[in-house]
Amino acid sequence: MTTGPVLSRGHSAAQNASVLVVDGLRKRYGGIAALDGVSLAVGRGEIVALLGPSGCGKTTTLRLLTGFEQPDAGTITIAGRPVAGAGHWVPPERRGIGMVFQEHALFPHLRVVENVAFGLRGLSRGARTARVAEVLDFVELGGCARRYPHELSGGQRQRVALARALAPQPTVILFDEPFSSLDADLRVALRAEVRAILRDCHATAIFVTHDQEEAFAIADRIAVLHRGRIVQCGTAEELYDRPTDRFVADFIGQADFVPGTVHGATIDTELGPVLNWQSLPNGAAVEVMVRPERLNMQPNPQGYGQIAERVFRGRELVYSVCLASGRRVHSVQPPDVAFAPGDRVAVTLSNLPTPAFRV
Amino acid sequence: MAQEAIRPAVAQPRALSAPRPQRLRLWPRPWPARLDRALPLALPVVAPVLYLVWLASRAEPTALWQSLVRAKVGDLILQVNLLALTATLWAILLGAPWAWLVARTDVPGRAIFRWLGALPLAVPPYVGALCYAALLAKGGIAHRALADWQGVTTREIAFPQLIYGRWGAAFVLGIFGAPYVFLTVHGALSRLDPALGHAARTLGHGPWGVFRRVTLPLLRPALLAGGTLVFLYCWVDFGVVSLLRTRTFTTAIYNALLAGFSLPSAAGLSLPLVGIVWATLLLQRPILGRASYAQEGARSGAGARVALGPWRGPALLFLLGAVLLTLGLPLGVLLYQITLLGSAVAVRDFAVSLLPFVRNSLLVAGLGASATLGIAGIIGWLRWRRRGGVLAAPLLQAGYALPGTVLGFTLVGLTLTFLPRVYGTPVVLILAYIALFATPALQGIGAALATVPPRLEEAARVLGHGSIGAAWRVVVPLAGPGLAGTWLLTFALALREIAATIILRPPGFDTLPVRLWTHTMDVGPDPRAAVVALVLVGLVGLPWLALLRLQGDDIGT
Repeated sequence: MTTGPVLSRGHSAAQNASVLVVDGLRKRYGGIAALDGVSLAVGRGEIVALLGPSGCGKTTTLRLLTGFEQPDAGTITIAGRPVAGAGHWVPPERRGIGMVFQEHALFPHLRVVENVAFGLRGLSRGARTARVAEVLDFVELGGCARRYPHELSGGQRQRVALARALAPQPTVILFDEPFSSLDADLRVALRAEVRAILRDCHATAIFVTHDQEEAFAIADRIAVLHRGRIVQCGTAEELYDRPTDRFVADFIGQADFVPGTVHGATIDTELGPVLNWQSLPNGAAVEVMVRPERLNMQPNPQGYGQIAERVFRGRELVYSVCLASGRRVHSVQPPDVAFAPGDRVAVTLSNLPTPAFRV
Repeated sequence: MAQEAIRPAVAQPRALSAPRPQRLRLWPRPWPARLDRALPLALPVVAPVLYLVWLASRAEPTALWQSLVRAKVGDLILQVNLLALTATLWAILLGAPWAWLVARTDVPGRAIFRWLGALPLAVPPYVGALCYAALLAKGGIAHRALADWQGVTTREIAFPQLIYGRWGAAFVLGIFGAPYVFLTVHGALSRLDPALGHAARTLGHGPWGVFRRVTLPLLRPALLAGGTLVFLYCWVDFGVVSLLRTRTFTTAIYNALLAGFSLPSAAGLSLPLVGIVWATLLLQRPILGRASYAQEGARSGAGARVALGPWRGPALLFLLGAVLLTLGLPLGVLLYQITLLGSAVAVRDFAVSLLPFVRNSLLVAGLGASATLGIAGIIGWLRWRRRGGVLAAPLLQAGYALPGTVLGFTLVGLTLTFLPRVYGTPVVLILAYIALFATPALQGIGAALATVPPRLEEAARVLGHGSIGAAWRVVVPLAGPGLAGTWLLTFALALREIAATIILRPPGFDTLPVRLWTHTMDVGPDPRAAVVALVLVGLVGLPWLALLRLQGDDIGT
């Protein structure tokens, strides 16, 4: 990797200033609200993932950010300049945004160098050549400069797409499911690689993905989108351990939900009392999130749980436990802890605080 | 940030308020804004249609009815329907097995036969009519050969006069419709996923079972699409039926125009014709829609070919026979006719005398193709890239359903009324070609644009290029071959157009097809007509050949 900053523009201003501010963004298609008030601020050098199931509004957000669509309401500000909403409009080509497209969208009629040089306008020939060489070196593709996109491997194409987006030194780089077209091994390797490149050049980036593993691996912060709203925004740990929304609890990782009733400082559930750390009001009916790795089991012939099913996953065993009420919950155990289907067990929840949601 | 987020929303309660149940919209949302840009471009198509309706509405209903009765319209409909059905069946019998043999079997020479399958499109059908008339008419080549063989004169030996009339016309129209069936069926066969056949084999079906239960059902849309093309062509054709003296709507309209230039009676005759054509198009739309859907995401790989075994010989004979009918006999007749003309000098002198007509043809066809491509290009781009042209694009396609004869006389009336200066100039011909060929051009543009994913354009936009710059630097280079092919297609179609040209040609401005037609009508299918026809075939054939090279086999569908 080269030492010089590839994204000098991202380097000069204050580190903590928000480079991209999205405020109250709304967009309808026909009668359907695709975005229903999305607000988000992305700091300089930050990598943010927009995570959500298909149809949650990720792609719409991206198209509004790039300027391929106009918002019905709300504003977008990039590097302090309003680009959409409140009477402002800046077309895509003047927003200073870079984008890595799904399936890369490399120009098939242009060589790698020409693809990378495509966004370098208003530079002298020499400066352009130098910049292309610099960026190609940066993504370690110097040797492929004269090739056409179809002559590259999937991973190389990915890096050309990244180089092309980086070359004009955009304020923000957007990634639209950039790894979805690659196979699993390559995906894991490239994630790390792309993250390293973005870090090295202090780029501000937004990843749109439906793959939480990808979001966890690449992003500093993850915004979970659901039905056109950001339901929670935080680090991976926050989203996993302290989801503030039932949808997030369900969508991130695996979870079961057990009904309970608040009694002062505790919540009574089928799995025993749980700490009411969120200070939910007395008497409230709630659902307690149960992560499978938090569910402990002891062999106990009088236990109220019965092993219903066992799935071997190599590093772990996943048990499906049938509770007295007939409800099923899941428990992850190390492979040496062996129960057989039909075994009776005592089931307890570890006493770490776990979120509960009002029903 | 959060507090501020509320403010713009309050300022614009329209976006905030709960969605009201929406009325069914007849127009896409801001319709005037989208309409104004593209709609004037559809005028060459829209105006003749409106004019036709206006003409018909002005006519006295009883007089209109009487003129229809006088023209025996009911009988005419039955006759033309019979003609069209016969020709369609004949075209399917020729074209479909041809396509299947070259696409799916190990018949010898399939590469050549595949290429030959689309080639007859280079021969205008009326040239074919001319050739078969020269060959099969009483006193024609076949008759004379028979008489020579018997050692008698043609007067002494009976010969059926079959080529002139409905059966002859159906015979010729079927032969020259076969390439359309060939192309649609061949296209469907090559898009067919071989995995489907393999799946059927694993499910216990033999080759014949696969053909009957998988291939044939999947081909049905293509057969219907190809068949409909031929069927419609028979209704709107003017060249073949007029040369073979068969009475159809187009010849009836032409005769009504000749006999005192009665626009209302021509309009009266046009209405049933246009109605039948539009009804057929509407009926086939769902089928065609599904056929085009089947193309998406399909693969072009070749599956295992069917081994014909002892049937290879008969299959080859079938293909040779089909090529003889579509290409061998017509071209052979033309060449033979020319030898009758005497010396090479005579041929050359006559060919040279045709040069002004060649020039006229190239001029109007070139300008017409360019204008059509321009208009279809703008509307196509608006439609597929800007979600605009919502009315212009379908309206443009309505022109496809306007038979050339009908378009011809409506343009006469229109230009006489509104653009008297344009009337009687080649500009009218260009307007006619725009109206007639905007649909194939628009389809070509659509196919060309489809090869360029919108994302590539967006990538160019994000990289700092404006929408026109992005179109120029990304769409044009990538869609270039498709656009060039579309121009060539339109050019070739305009070059051979006769139905509208014969009505609209300015005095003293004959195109080559017009020259051919008038000569044949006046003199008959004589050797001089053959020279004109050969020059025309060469002229039309060159862009077709270029097109075949450019686009493989997906033309004309």
